This record gives sequence, C-alpha cells and structure tokens, in this order.
Amino acid sequence: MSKTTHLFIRGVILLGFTMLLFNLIWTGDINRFIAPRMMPYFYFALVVMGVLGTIQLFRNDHDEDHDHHEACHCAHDHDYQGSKKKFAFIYALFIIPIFTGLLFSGHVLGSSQAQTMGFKHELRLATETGIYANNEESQQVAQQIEQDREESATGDENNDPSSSGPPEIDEDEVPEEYREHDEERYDGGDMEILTPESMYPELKDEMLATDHIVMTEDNYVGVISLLEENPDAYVGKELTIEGFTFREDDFNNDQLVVGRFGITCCTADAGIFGLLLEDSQLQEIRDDTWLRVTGTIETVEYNNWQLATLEDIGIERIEQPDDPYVYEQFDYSEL
Amino acid sequence: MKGFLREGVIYALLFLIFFAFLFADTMALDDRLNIPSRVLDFNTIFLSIFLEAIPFVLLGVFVSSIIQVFVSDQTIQKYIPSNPLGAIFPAVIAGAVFPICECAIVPIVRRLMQKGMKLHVAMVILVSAPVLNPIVLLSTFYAFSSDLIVVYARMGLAFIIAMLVGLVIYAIYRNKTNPLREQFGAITHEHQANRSFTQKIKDIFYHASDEFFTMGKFLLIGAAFASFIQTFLAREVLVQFGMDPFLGPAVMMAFAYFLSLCSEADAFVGASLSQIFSTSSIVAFLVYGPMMDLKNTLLMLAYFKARFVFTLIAVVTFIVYPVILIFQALMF
Repeated sequence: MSKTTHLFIRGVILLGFTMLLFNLIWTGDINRFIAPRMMPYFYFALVVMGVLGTIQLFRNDHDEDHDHHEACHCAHDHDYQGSKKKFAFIYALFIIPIFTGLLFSGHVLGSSQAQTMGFKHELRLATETGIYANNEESQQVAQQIEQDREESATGDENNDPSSSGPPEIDEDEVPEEYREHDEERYDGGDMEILTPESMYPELKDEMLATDHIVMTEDNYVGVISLLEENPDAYVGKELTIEGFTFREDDFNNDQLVVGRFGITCCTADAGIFGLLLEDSQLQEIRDDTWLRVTGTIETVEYNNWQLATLEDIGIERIEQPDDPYVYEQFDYSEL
Repeated sequence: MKGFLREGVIYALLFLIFFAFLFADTMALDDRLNIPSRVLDFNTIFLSIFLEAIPFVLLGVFVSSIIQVFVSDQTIQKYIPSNPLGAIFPAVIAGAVFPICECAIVPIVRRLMQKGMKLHVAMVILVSAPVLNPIVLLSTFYAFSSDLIVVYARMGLAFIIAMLVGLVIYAIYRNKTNPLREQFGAITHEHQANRSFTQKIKDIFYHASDEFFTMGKFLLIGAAFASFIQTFLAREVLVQFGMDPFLGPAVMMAFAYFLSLCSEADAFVGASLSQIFSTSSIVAFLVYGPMMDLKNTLLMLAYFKARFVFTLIAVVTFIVYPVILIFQALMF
C-alpha cells in the first residue's frame, strides 16, 4: 500500500472516531461508558479527533517524507511498511469499535454482568469459604449483632409510649463511646473501609429526619452506603427504590436484588448498589426488569451479616430510565 | 486500476460509517439481533476502557510532541543531576508532582529518553507518575478515608518501590544499549532548527495522529483482553485466596494487572474488595496496578523492545511482591 492510501484510511478512521464521539455525546449515550465528570476530556478528544482527521485527509507530507522524518527522527515511516494482511488486521482493530460503538451504544449492563461482579459476594463467599468460620472476629461480629438486636428490641419497648410513627433510633441517645466501640467491632477492625457517615453527613441527617426516603439518581450511592453501614438507624422508615432486578445462582425465586450500577470513571469500574428483597410477589418478576419498590426498612441477617431490606412492599414496573447508571460523586474541594 | 478499487473501498467505508452515524439509533440493532447480553457487556466494557483512555493518550501524545518541539536536550540535561544514582530521588519527586496517568506517561517517557534522559531515570518516572499523583492521592483518600493506613501505605510503598526499580534497572542496563525500538532511537537535532514555527505546529499534529495509530492498536488489544477478564471472570474465583498472606497479594497483583483500570478509579474497586482481601493485598493491588498493567504493557511494546518490557515487568513484580510481604510482616 502506498503511503497516500495509509493516510487516507487513517483520515477516515479518525473521522469515524469523531463521528462516534459526536454521536455518543449528542445522544447522551456517552454516559453509558464514561462518568459525567469526565466529560471535559471528551470534548477535548472530540475536537482533537476532528482536527486530526481533517488534517490527515489533506495531509501532503507524503511528498516531503524525507524532509519531515529527517527532522523528527521518529521514523513513523516504519509504520507504513508491512504486509497487506498485517494492515488489514490493524485497521480492522480500529474500524470494528467505530461500528460496535455506533450500533450498540444503547446497551446497558444488566443481570449478566451483575452476576459476574456479584452482590455482596464479599460477605456471602467469605462465610461460605470459611474465612471467618474459625475466626474469632466473626464470632464477635455475630455476638455483637445479637446484642444490638436485643438492645434495639428493648429500646423499642421503652420508647414505645408515643406509638405513633415508626420507632426511631436516635443516634444521640447511644453513648458515643459505645458507638465507636460498636462500629469498630461490628466492622471487624479494618475490614470496613468506607465511612459513608463521614462522606454523606447531610444526607444522613435528611434520612434520619424523614419518614419516607425516596432514592434518586443523585442520592442513590449515598443512601445505599448509609444503609449498609448502619441499617438499624433507619428501621421502620419507608423507602422507595428504583432499579433493575437480578438473582444470584443460589437465590430462591422469591428473592432478588433491586439495584443499579454505580460508576466512578468508566463502566469498567462499575459496581452494584442495591437492596436484597424477599417477597412472594417477586416470584414472577424476571431478571432485568426495572421496578419501583416501596416498603418499610427492616434488617435481615444474611450469612451472619446484617443487611437492610424492605418489607410489605408494593412493586410497580417502570421503564428503564434514560440514564440507567448512577455515578459516584466526590467533591474533591471539600477535602 | 487497483488504486481506484482501493480508494473505492475506503470511500465505501466512510459512507458506511456515516450511515451508521445517522441511523444507528433508529435501528436499535441490539434489540433486534438478539445478541447474547454477555457479548454486549463485553463490547460495552471494551469501548468504555478504550474511550476512557483516548483523551489521556491524546494528551500524552501532545505533551510529548510539545516536549519534542519546544524543549531542548540541554534543558533536560540541566535539570537532571549528572550522578546517575543521585538522579533517582528527584525523578520520583518529578513523577509525584505531575498528574500524569499510565496511558499518557508512556509517550512522554519515551520522548524524554530520546532527549537524552537516562533509562533508569525514565523508568522511575514511568512507574511513579501514575501512582504518586495528586489526583490518585485524593481518590484513594476518599475511598479509604477510615483506613488511612491504606492511603499512606500506597503512597509510601510506591515511593520506595519506584526508587528500587530505578536502582535495579540501573544495575542491569548500565552498560547496555538503548532498549527503545530502533526507529525510536536517539535524535540528532541538526534539522530541527531550520523549521519554521508553522511547520513545527504541523509536525505536532502529524506526529499526534501517527502516534495515535502506533499506540492505538496496542491500546485496543489491551482493552479487549481487560474487558474479557471483566466480563467472564466471576469475582468468586478470587475469594478463596483472599486472606492467604502469600497468595492474597499475588492474586491481587495479577487481578490489577489484567483489569487495567485507570489509577484514578482503582481505589474504589479496591475498596469494594476490601472485605475479602487483607489490607496488604489491597495495598498490593493499588501499588502494582498503576505501575504495571496489561494496557500499559501493550502501550510500552509500541516503543520499547519486547525483551526490555518483559524485564521491566519482572523487575517491578519482584520488587513489589517482597516489599508488600515485608510491609505485611511489619504491620500485622
């Protein structure tokens, strides 16, 4: 192949990527690959690709080859030498993603990827494989959970006279010392690493103040993280969650997870945020159905771990939202 | 005649892309064709890794082109201590100050070498810049805010490891020839001077597109492998090694290598695995991934001789692993 042909096909490929990026940004599908906070980089990439592609088509340095490469000694000329098959392969590598990107950009990760990544697999498998089985820590954790339960049960009785509204556990009533100790034990020392309470202080206050927590795209990751950290604090409140459904291999028909993928930078780092539900109504719900579920927050023991779940649920089928993923937002300026 | 045919094919290709560009969304092929969702998952993750890398590769390419055209060899020589061992420490500091990720660092480092930077100094920057990096520090801090030991260990160990890598590379390659592929060897600058400013700008753009293709093919292959692992490797497989003091860090290093995550995002993935893996395994994941991963191995292969790339991987691996084990023994 002559260098002119190479330059031509490369120009076409660069324009192809420009069109791909433009299409993704225009339709908003870009957010199925990349978190919104990365967008400035993609406007940059779009412009650069367009400029490079245009320049490439009108590039005339094949005449001044000698000159040019003498000057820079990068000898990219080497790139233009080789067998036809090699180039067919290399250019196919570039062309295929342009087409799969344009044609299949609407695809949204669902139950299949959720199964690969696993929901709370860390908890479940840790117990199954016996990592904690002979481990003092796990027994402490279990004991601690028992204690918590008893205490919160008695606490409820004592606080009950008002009897109107759901039982509220006032964080302030629990002595600071106990709570810290509790959390430390509860989390098995260094096992729990994120502290949602310190990351979402305002959200936590809002959740404690309201009787009905509604999960939105913006508070999704925060609500789930807070529920995971300290489910007991929210028991009895109503909660509305939207998400797609999936089941792990060992789930029963009436169990499923409603959740959404949370993304930090790109879809490759997606993780599942969701709630495990159990209800007979769920039997006929298939995987990858989008639901809006409203119910009362309750805790459930799942292989020695306490998780938040919903009881007395009402379910409603909904359309997949335009933006099916939720994004982890960190305000770096607050540090 | 043959040339005509070839041009015709390329025009047809351009037309097809344009057609897909206009009508892809109305066709909704993914619903109609009934493609298994795992294949589409693979495609989505593959594209997301590739797309995510594009702006940073382009940035790296432009920075390297600008260094090429506007920074003279003398300037670089001036700022690097002439004592080869004395240059290692400033190199780590340089790596720490510049927020350059692992995709962008490869063309930059190669350009610095062409400008006369010593191999071992360049390698120190290559492994340190993606980890010791203000943005990575912040994201790690967020992900591990209640377990700051992970943050300190990541940064501290990366610092020590980058210096050790520099020492070992210096010991091995002190008397050997330049491991850059021949066509990227040293530059002699006689012709550079008499090019006009417009020509220089044109050169930058020509280089940028040439380098996009040189690196792009490796990036695509790397993204495809990484996506394959992401889509088909059930995380459960990893769990059984989680708390093993020797296998845990090794498995997490391998996992980091194949996942090829951006160093800015890997802290969050690390945090999600923190319950099944020991702290030292998580630190191994966070230190090793940005220094060495599949994507950046392939990017390096674009410029360096294969033998050198594999030596570098071996050096980094056999430094990170024992350092992690020592850290583990001291801490726990």
